[in-house]
Amino acid sequence: MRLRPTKLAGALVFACLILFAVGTNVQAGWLIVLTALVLGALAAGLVLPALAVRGIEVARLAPESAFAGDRVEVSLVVRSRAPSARGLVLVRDRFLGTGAAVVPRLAAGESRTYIGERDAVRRGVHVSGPCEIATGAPFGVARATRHVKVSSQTVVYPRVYDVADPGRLAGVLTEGGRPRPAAAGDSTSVREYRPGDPLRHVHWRSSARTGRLVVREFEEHASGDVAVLVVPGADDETVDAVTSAACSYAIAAVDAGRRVVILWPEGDGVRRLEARSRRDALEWGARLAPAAEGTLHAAVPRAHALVAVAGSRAPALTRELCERGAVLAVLVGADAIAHTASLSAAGTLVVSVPDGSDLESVLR
Amino acid sequence: MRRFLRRPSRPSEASITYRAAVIATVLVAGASAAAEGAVSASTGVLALALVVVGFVVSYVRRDERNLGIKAVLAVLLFVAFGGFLRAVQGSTSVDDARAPLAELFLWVQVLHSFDLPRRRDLNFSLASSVALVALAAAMSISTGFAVWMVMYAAAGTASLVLGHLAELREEAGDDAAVPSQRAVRASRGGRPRSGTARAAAAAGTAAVALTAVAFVAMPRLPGVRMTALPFAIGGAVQLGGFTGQVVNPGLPAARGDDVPSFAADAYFGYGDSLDLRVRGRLSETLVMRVRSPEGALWRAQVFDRYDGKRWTSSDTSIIPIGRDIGPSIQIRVPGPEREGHDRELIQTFYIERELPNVVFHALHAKEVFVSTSVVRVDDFASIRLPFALEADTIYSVISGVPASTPDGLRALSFTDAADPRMQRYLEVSETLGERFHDLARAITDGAPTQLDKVLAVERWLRRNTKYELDIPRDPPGRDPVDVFLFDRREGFCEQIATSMVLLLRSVGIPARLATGFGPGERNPFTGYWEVRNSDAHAWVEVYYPRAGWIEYDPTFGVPLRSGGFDPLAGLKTSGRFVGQLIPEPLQRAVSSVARAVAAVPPAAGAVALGCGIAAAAWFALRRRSRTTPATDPRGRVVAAWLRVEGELAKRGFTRDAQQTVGEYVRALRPPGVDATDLRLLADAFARARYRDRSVDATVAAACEARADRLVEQIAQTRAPLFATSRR
Repeated sequence: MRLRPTKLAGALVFACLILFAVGTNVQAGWLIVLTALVLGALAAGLVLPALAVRGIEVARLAPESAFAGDRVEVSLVVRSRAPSARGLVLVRDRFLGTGAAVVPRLAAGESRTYIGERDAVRRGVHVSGPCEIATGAPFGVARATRHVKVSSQTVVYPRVYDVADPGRLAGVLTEGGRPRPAAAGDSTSVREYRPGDPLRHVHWRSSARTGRLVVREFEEHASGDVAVLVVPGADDETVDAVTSAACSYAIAAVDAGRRVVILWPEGDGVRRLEARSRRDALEWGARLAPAAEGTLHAAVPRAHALVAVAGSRAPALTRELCERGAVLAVLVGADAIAHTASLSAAGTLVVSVPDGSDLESVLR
Repeated sequence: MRRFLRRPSRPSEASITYRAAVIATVLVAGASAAAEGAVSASTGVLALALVVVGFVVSYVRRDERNLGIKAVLAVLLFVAFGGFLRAVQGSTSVDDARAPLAELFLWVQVLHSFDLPRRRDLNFSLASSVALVALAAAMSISTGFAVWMVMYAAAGTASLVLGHLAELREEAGDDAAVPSQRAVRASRGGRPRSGTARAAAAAGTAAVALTAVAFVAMPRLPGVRMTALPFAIGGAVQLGGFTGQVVNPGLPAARGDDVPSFAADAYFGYGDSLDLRVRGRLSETLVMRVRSPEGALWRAQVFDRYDGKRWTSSDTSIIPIGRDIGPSIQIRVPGPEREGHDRELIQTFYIERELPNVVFHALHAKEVFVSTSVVRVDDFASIRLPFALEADTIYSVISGVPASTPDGLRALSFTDAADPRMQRYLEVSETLGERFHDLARAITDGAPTQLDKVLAVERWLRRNTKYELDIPRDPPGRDPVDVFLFDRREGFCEQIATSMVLLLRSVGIPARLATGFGPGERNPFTGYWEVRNSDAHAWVEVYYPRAGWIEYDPTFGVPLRSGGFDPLAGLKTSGRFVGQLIPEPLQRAVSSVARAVAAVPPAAGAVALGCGIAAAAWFALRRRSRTTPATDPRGRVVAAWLRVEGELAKRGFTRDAQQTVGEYVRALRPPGVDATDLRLLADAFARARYRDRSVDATVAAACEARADRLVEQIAQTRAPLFATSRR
């Protein structure tokens, strides 16, 4: 807790000195009373904020998820756990941007909720956030400030755009239609249930026969699988753009019923995620961290339609893509665009996203 | 230029309540100034009405640049300042400038009130109101000003509080969230627990207590010397054929038995003589207020000749003294030379009732500021005016109060009894017999110095006589002093002081009798000494070689002045003043309780005090445990869920013993009830109860907030809550 006198305190001290000097010299008792009044307000104003800031709690009600750039409704719940009322409290919150709440009065045990909208939310997993509780109650002579850490979690997904334009993507993402389930009873067509599998995919007859919960395995169309290869890049803006592009294509493919595998470098290795739903892709996109190409080129799967999204120079991956005949390459930023020529020559559809360009219009 | 013409970068102040509080503060300040006569009533009413109009205009046009208005206001401000300069041109004292200054401040308020777009401008108005009320306070000499002070404190407090709220809102700016009407409620589902009144009372009490402490502890320092002091004439009824005699307007004519009659409103000690046979009790009427850094005996007359019944003055050469250059009259009286430094004491007298034509003053008046060009002064330096003092007369006196110390007086030699100038101060009435002289010698024997002899007499009178106003008349033919000292030993100040004068004269110490008023009671609020008729007094002046005349009051005691300031003066004055306000029976009761407490042995007192503190602490803790909600975050999460579950149970859906919280929640169909809140609360409850025992306080607070919302939603919804039929 920090207690800091305000300018008003200085003004009151000055007023006290002047009033006392004048009151003494003209022997005016009421001026001495006025001086005492100002002095009393000053003393009370210096002491009371330290007490008034105690017993106040703040909770934050934020959505579990949001999309980057959206206006997000975040509520601050201010509660008094003090035995007496509190008031004149300013709560400043830094979570998904900035927010504030001014609480004029808070009865003992009362909670008040303040609903605010915050924008320019960045992609990521936002956990906790510093919150400042300040009050100068009652007179604003001094400001007592207390910092608290308020827990809450909001996953901010990258902004995604509608990219399922058959003409532009030459049907890469949408051809093949929905996968068909394998015939029941086929030893390769069912597998053991894994958490997250939809209940409608449970093959009840096989489950009854084996005594274990099994689900139907869908047909693997090697040529219909889509691998999204992602080189995030180094700076935050590029990573955000790469993430948005990658998620947009991954979701378009998922929506088209394609099996989507996302690969990206992380640390010294390469991580792989099978995106079964939009949410999988978005959750991945929210957590993607900056990284360079690394050994991603060595992990490019075979028999997949390859979609590459790069935010930085990736020569080894470019060579691999050229050799393998990647379908689509989205190159974000000046560094990545350097590979446009070689990829185009290899027959890859190249989408260039120069720095500062509008990603949405480019992807469309 | 373009930037200048742009709208102000800071937002305008839109809070009507804050503006209302500020205008109330300004109006109280202006009204107090008008009530104290700082400005005329018509000016005050006009100005305050314009202030209201100005505030309204300011509010309506708060988002405009108002360049035209600003220009007009600037011109009018110069006009007001010019008027102020013209008004103070003829002023002879700082006091004279107070009224024009108050008028200037009032017009500044009026003009400024037309351009108050922002909080900063409203703060300036508040600061100006302090100046205005300070001027009114400086002019007030009445305790009634307390009403204005209380009103101003209330309005000012509201302004400060609302100003701080406006400041917080300004700081929050665009980030400010709006309060949710739906969610404003007590955490436990009922009405908000009371606490606002308690908090306001606590803050108010703290402020008042600190104000009281500051007021009592504030040192009362002597003021600096002003070049000119205030004076004004009241009725200005000149005395016809004035030659220096004292005219006591309220004194009735003498009766047939040669004993002057008594009047409750006119002290019999002002006039040609002071008769010790007069009996009566003077009224409590306020006769004057004195502005002085310290109290003193306000001297009016001196008597040097006692004939066994009455005091008279042997001096008939009352000389006129006129004004030289400047507003004051210098009082120079030939007499025995004095050495040593005097301490200057500046007094201003505000007369409230008709009084004799004397200038009351502290000992050794040096300079008088009074509305006449000539005063008359007798050999004893008592000053007479050519007009009677009437209500609203004001005059000032600068006195040179002897700064003698006991050690300094002890070092002085005895007065030379052969000095012809001292003979009249050594005469003792023949009506007093030898036993009187024996008594004087008995009292002073063994006292080595003149001071010690004086103190011995004073001490003897204090110990052996009693102050009593209601005493019977003296037997015919007896000297009142003889009766007082040898028979009655009871009397009032005239008998006591006369006895001291004569006892001192008996042992060769020059002394005389002075009359006037006692210091009165200092009003701690106005700072003025309030002198009543009943403060009329008689005391003793004793001559010391080279030191001159020194005052002694054997009746109530007048300590030798040390000249330093008393840091506890405020505390003492306030205590005496408050003591006066307490009814006498209550005073007696408090005194008897205090005496009883003082009689308790220290050990028993300590045990009783300890028991009292322990009991108070126990009650406080018990009360706190009752009123303070549980602070354990885990318990709070559990309590929040149980509250929601209780509400659900009231709607007819109870959770089966074998049903998990998750199953229970999934079975709900919540139209109008936030399913996410319900699920999150249930999850938090499950974690707190069964898994994670270390729950964050903020999580607990969020759960309680969710529970608040859910309880309200459950109470409002009429639709079926559940997906399945009731089990």
